[in-house]
Amino acid sequence: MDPQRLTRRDLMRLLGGAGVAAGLGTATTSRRAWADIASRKDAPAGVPVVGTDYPPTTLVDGKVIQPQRQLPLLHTTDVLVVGGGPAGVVAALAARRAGVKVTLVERYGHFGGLWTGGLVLLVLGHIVTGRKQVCQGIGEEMMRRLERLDGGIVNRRPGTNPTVDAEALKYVMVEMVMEAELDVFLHCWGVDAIMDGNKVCGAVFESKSGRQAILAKNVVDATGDGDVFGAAGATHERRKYHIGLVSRIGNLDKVDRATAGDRTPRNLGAVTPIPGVRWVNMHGPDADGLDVRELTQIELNARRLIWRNVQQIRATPGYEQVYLMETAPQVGVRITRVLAGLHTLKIDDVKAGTRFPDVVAVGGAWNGDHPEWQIPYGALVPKDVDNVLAAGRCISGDRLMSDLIRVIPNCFVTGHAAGAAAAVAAQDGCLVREVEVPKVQKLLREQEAYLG
Amino acid sequence: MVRIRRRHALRRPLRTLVRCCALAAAVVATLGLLPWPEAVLVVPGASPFVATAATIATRSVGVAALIAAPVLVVVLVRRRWFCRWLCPVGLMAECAGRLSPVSASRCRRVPPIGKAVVLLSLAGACFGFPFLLWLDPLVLFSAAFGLAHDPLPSAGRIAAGALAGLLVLSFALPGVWCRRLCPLGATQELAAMPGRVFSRRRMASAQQGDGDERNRPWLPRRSVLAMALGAVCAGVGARFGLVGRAQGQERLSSVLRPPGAAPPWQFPQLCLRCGNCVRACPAGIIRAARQSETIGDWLTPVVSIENDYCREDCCACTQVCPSGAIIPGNAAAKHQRPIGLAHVDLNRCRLTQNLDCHERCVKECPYEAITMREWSWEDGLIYPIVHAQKCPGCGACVLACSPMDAIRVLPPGVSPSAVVDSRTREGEQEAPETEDGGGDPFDDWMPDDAGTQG
Repeated sequence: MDPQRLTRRDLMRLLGGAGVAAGLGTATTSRRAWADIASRKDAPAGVPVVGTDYPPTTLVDGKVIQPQRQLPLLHTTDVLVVGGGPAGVVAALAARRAGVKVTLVERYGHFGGLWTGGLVLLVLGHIVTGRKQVCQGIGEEMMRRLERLDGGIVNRRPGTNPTVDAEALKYVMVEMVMEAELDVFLHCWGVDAIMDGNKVCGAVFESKSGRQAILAKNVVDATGDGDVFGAAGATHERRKYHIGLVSRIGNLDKVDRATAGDRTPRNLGAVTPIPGVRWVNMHGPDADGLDVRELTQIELNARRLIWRNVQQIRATPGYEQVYLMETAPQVGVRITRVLAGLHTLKIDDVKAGTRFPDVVAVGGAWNGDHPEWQIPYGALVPKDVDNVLAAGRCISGDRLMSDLIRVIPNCFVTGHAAGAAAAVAAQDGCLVREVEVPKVQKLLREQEAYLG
Repeated sequence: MVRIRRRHALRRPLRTLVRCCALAAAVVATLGLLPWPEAVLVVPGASPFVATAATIATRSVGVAALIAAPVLVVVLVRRRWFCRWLCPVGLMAECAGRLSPVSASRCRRVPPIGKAVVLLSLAGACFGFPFLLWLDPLVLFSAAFGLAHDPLPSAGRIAAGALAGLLVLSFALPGVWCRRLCPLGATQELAAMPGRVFSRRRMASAQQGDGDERNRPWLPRRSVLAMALGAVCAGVGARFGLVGRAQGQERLSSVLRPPGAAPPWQFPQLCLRCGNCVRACPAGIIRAARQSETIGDWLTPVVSIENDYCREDCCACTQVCPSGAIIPGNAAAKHQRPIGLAHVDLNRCRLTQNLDCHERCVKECPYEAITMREWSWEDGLIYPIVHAQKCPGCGACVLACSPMDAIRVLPPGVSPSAVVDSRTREGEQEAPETEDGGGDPFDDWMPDDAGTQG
C-alpha cells in the first residue's frame, strides 16, 4: 500500500478534529462579538461635567436674554483669515508666505467653500480677450497641483475654463495649508467681530467648543457673505441673487446612445474629471442668502426638484442607468453682502479697461470675452471700519459686477491681494487702509501674481 | 434723318458731349462716390420701364417713379429722347458697334423683342408679377457695380458679365441691342406711339399721303398678343404659384429677405438684381442668392446672419431699392415688415442643460425682444423667450449665441418645425471637442462645453 495515501481512518480523524476546532472558534468569536456590542473595553474615560462654564441664556419677562460674559481666547495671531474658500485659502497662504503668523478658520470640515462644498466645479473667468490667462499666483499654483493628480482637473488647456474634482481639490488645499504650516481651525463659524474702537482686532467663533475668540492684528473677511465686516458695522449693500443647489449625476458613460437617438434630456449638466459623472448646476430663485428661512425653503425645494429632474433623465430611453450621485453639502449662495469700499468697482470700468495706480489684482471674464480689468486696493478696504479687508465675492462692486466678482479665479486674485496686504500691514504695524500699496504690489509680484 | 442732321449741324457733337457727361455721371452715381448714399437710386430709377412696371406691380408710387416721371414725360413727345441724349449703356453699345466691321443695317432682320419684353412685363405687373425687369440696361449697368460689393465675388462677375455680353452683342451685331432688344428703348417707342398718332408730323405726313405711316395700325397685333401672353403668364403664375413653390394659400419665404421686403410671392419678380441693397448694407449681411430653391430667386438679395446682424440704427437697404421690392422705411419701423423672427432651439440652449451661460441673447438684443423666463420650481430652468411683436429678426441674438448656435432667425410666418435643421449630428461631431474631454464619451456629441472652449 502506498504510504502517501490517506487511509479512511485518517480522513475521519481529520474531519472530526476540524469540526471540533470550528465549533470552538465560533463559540469564542460570537462571545466576543456580544461583548463588543455592549461596550469598548479600551474606550477613554469620561469627565464628569456639572453645570455650565458660563450662565446660559435665560427667559426674562418673555425676552430671551444672553448674559454678558468673558469669552475664552482660542488663539492670537497676526493675520486672521475667516473663511476657507478659494479666497480665504489663497489669502492665508499669501500672508503666511510673506512671513507673518496666519490663522485660517473655516466653518465646514474642508477647504474650498462653494468650489468644493457647493460643487461649483467650473473655474470660470480666468481668461480675457485673446485667450490670455490673467489669474496667476497662488490660485494658478493650486491648478497646477491639481493637474499633477490623476482625475484632478479636466479641460485644462490655454484659453479654456477647466473643471475640477471636488475631492482632489480638498486634498490639494489640505496639502498646501499643511505645507505652509498655517494655524487652522475647522468647524468654526465666525459669528462676530471683535472691535477696539473702530478697529477690528479679531473675531468670535462658534463651534462645538462653544463661543471663543481669536485676536489678530488684522482680519481678512473671506466669508463670502461678509460676516465679519457686517458684524463690525462696515457700510455694505445687502443683495438678493439667485440661489441654487448643485448636484452630481453618474453613469452617463453607460447611456445607450443607440436607444437614445436624438432625444437628449434636460439638466444633464457639464463634465467633471470623473468619467461618466457630470455636475448639474441650478439657477434657482432670487433669494436672500442671509435669511435662514429662505435658505431652508430652497434646500427643501431643491432636493425635490433635483430628484424629479434625475427621474426625468432616467425616463428617457437609453438613460435608465443614470443616477443621482450627490447633492452639494452647501447651498449655492451667489451674492449677499457687498462691501462699500474706498473704491467701488463699476461695470463701466471693466468695459473701458480702466487702470488704477493702486491695482492689486486683475480680474478675468467668463469666457474670455472682456478685456482684463483691474481691481484697485480700495475695493477691498471698508470705507468706515479699520483693519478688516474683504476678499472674494463680497468686495466692493456695483450691482452689475456681481457676476464678475463672484467667480472663482476672481476670488483667487482678490484673496491673494488681501492676504498680501494684511501681511504687509501686520509687518509694518499699520492700519490696512494706510498700507503702502507699492509694497503690496511688490510682494504680489514676488508671489507671481499678475497685475497687468 | 438727313433733314434733321442738316438742320442741326451742331447738335451731334453737343449730343456726344452730353452723353459722355451722362455716362461719367452714371458711373460716379453708381460707384457711390457721391456723399449721399441714395445716389445709387438715380441710374436704375431713371428707367421709365422699371418705374412703370414697379408702380403698377406694387400699386404705389416709389422714389424711382418720381425720378423716371420726367423722363417718361419727355419721351412721350420726343421719340427715344433718353436713348439719344442720356443712356450710358447706349453710348457704350454704340461705341462697341462703331468698332465692329459688321453693318448696322443687318440688325433690322431681328424682330423687336424688346417691345415684347416690355409688354409682357407690363401686363405681368398688373397681376403683381413684372417679368424681366432685370433686362433693363440701366439695371444691368447698376448691377455691374452694385453686385461687385457682394461678399462673394461671383455675383459681381455675373452682373459685369451680363453688361459685357451686351457690348459683345453690340459688337457682333451693331445696333441690335438698342433698336431691337433693349426694353428701355422699346418702352420709349411704345410711349411715343400714342403721341405720334396725333402728332403734327403724322398729320403732315398723312396730308402728304405717306401711306406707310397712315396704314400702320394704332396698336399693332403683335403688341396685343404680347400683352395678352404676359397677362396670361402672370395670371397663371399668380394663381398656381408657378414662379415659386406655393405653400397653401400664402407662399412663405424660405430665405430671409432684407427688412421691408415685398411679400415673398412678389419679391423675386419685383427685384431688379441691381445690387443696390447689397452695396448699401453697412454690415455686409445682404448677399445675392446663389443657391436658391427656384431659379426665380437667383441673385435676389438674402440676409445672411453669419458675421454681423441687421443694425438697429440702419435702414440703408430700404432707401436704395429702385423697384420697390424693398419698401422704403425707417429704422424704427423694421418690426412692421420684419426680416424674420428669432427662434430659440431649447434643445441646444445651454441653459436647459444648466450650463454656464452669459445670457448674451438677452443682453445683446437691441429691441429688448428676448427676456429670460423667470425661474420657477416647476421645471427649475431659465431660458430665453422671444417676443414676436418686438423682434424684427435682426439676428443680433444669433451672433450672441455663438458658438452654441441655439438661435436662428426664421423667415416671417415659418414655423420652426418646417425648416430642416442643416446642422446635423455629423456636423457636430466634426467639431474638435474630444481633445482630453475627461474621457467622457458624451462630449463628442452633447451640446456642451463648446462655450468653455471659447
